[in-house]
Amino acid sequence: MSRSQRILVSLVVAVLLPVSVVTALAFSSGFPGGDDEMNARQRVSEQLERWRKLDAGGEPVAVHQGPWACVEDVGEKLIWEVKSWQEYTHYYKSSYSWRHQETGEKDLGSCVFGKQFVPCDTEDLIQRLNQARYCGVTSWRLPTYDELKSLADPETVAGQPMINRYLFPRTARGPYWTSTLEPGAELNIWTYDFYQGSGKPLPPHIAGWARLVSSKNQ
Amino acid sequence: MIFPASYWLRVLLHLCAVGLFTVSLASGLRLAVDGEWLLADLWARISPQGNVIAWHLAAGGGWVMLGITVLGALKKKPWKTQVRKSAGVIIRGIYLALPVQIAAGIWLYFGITGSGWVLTLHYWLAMVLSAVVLCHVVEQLIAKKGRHLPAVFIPTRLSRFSLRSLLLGVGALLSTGIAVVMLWWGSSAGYQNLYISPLDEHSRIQIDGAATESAWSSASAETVVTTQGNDYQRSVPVEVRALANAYTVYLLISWPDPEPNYSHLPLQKTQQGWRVNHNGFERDDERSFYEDKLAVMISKGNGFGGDHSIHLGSTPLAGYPASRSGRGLHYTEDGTIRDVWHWKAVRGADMSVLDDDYFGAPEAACAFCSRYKAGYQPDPVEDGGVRQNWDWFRPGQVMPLRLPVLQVRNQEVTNQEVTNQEVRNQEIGSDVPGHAMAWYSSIPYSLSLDNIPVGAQLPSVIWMSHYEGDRGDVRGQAQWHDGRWTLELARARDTGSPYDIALEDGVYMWVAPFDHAQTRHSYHHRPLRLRFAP
Repeated sequence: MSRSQRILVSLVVAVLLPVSVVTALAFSSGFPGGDDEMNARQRVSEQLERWRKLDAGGEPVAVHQGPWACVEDVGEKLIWEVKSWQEYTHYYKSSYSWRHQETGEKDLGSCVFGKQFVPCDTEDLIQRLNQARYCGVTSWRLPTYDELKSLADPETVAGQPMINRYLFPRTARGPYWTSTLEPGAELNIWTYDFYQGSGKPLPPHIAGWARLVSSKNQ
Repeated sequence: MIFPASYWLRVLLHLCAVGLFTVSLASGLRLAVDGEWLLADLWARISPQGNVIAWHLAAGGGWVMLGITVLGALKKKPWKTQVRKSAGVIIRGIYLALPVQIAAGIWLYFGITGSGWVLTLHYWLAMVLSAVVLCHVVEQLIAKKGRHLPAVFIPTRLSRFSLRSLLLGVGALLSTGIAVVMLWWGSSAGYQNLYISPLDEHSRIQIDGAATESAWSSASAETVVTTQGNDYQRSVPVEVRALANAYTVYLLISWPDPEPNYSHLPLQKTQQGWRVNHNGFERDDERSFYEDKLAVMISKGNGFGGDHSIHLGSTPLAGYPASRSGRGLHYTEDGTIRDVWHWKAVRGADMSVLDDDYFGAPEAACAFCSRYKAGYQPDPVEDGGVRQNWDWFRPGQVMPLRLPVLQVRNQEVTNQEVTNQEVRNQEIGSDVPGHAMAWYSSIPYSLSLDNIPVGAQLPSVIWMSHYEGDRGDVRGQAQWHDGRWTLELARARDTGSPYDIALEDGVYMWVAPFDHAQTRHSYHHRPLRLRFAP
């Protein structure tokens, strides 16, 4: 090997060694790459496409801004109620017996209307939201089982409810009412539990939670 | 150089030194970002992200290994006779500064008293060494026209196509490495034992932040020196004592703090409305208006960087949301958990509870999360804890969530009856007057009730109740007295929760005081190892 070749080889090693070390450092941390990174990007993209936050008047709220009163499922053209810490109509710990017009059980739950807790049922909540034209819509109702289940997100952190908590905070542990009836002689209505990620039919006198939904198109 | 030109050990050591210097500098610059040194913003942009503490400490181990090899070689070949003109003049600066730098690193790793000024020395020596190395490279390339480069990059025999010398060199370095690793494990260099004194089952420990029980005086104390917190160069020595009976472990943790900080993001009324007094909260880096805190972390391993749970940088997880502060995220790459207990001077004060959290696998990516916390998650909780007194935080104006009943009553604008119990509720936590209020002594905010004068303040902390569920597994209470916080806490040896780590012989523990800071805490590298009496 000639002298100039030896110098050239030395220079290559002198440059390659630190460069490869820094590259190894960079790729070992901060550059997950592969499926994990792609899945993360896809998940963020899907959420941005599917959801939109709305204020109580139905106006859009920016992605990282708040507060927001409802969440719109853009693809399904549905608007979902968001619960609140505050002890008023949307209080997250208000419970309801299930009632639809003359079917079901009246006033066996306990919810906040006005400034106090009163006996109530799902029909009371529906009337309240429709009267208030909450989030700009007036077709508030209980979701079907499939609609409610569509909010489930099994990728959330273990121990937390299986729902996007950044859009639907304050999700309580226990059954949420739907409008889907269980076929049979006795009246049982399907409920969904976001902590368990599963549903079951319950009789209407049970005090369950309620998250209402409305069609976007009036 | 201390060896002849192209001598195999010379080439090998030079290659190792180049590699180690690159790793040490790159990872060290990331670690230095928090220090607000000159050029810190530049380091934040260009330095690598992720588990860089582990890289930095591992490189430090490499330097020790290299140093031992060189010292062994020097024993046979005296220094003066081996310095050659080919190495240039500037290399002497490296010979001088490098041993001091390695010693400073060892000092910081072991958390010896005075780590604050050693940290300063460590940073500036890194800058000096970088400059010297750069000058050394320029000298070799320009002044000496690269003619001496083969002497440190190409071993003589290798240039004659013989690998024997190289293999010998690798063997020598590996032997040193194995010796260093054995020394490491055999000498407790990777941890500090904390012997837990047995506690009679009938002895009571009152969790009140006062070490008045006689059992504490018989418990042995271990001190770890933490640095690089909100006051970056201030060393905070944290003393830990432990007691245990068959069911419960009690810890007494004390650390100096010139003054207790209870002011936690207070809301202040201005002519334009309510605003939060803050200094960095919108980027998760509040450093002024924040309560004092202390975190305890338990892990089954003693890996570098909090058993590999610290990942620095703004986006250590590509594709996932960034760390808003740009400082990093806590998570584990293998999905195992680190048990984290968080004492908070205001938020937990009323409830005698620590916030029981954990570091685990990163949370799934989220588009709508304002603050992505990756693997830093609370243990499951049904209800309880605290609420923040705004409907949504904005750096400018905010809408308070609640008003204190007493405040409203005093202005005679409500017909709600204030009972004696409510009065007492507002007095709970007498150490934190005015910095928190109880949810049940407050009412929803409305403009019509808000006759509070301009300039007045509202607390941002609203106590609900003790956590219901796993999150409330750790009981604790602290007191500040004569420039020192003393935190007394208790937790079951085994809670049975998959989000907790059982406190058994051999588990490791770290402590991290936060001095009126949201996320900046001082820390130590070498954990305590809990040793229970058999």
